[in-house]
Amino acid sequence: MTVKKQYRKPEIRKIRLACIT
Amino acid sequence: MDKVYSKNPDVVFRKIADECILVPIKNRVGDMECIYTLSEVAARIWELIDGRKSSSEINRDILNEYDVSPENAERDLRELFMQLEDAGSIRETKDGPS
Repeated sequence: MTVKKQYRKPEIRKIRLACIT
Repeated sequence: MDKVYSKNPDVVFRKIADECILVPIKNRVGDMECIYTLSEVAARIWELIDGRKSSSEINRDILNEYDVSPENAERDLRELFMQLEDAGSIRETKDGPS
């Protein structure tokens, strides 16, 4: 029997990369 | 829930060290304002999105691979699809069989 992997809630995280002087 | 999603070709997936990231490539690099990181399960779901598999088929794959209840898996999958759609990373291609 295949051992199932531990489940963690799937998450997507936004990383903002980016205002005269 | 039986929808089919396809990936936006203007978004690329890269695995760097232990981080899985989505990078929008449509604009020039200088115009790029954000990237997205995916958790392990989210990255696995991203791999399963192929424009042919329905969301219920993807859900079944996740249930086979991970120790999770069907209710939680379906709810989390629906939330992730909404977030990926909002990010412009996937789009619904058509409704699955009714």
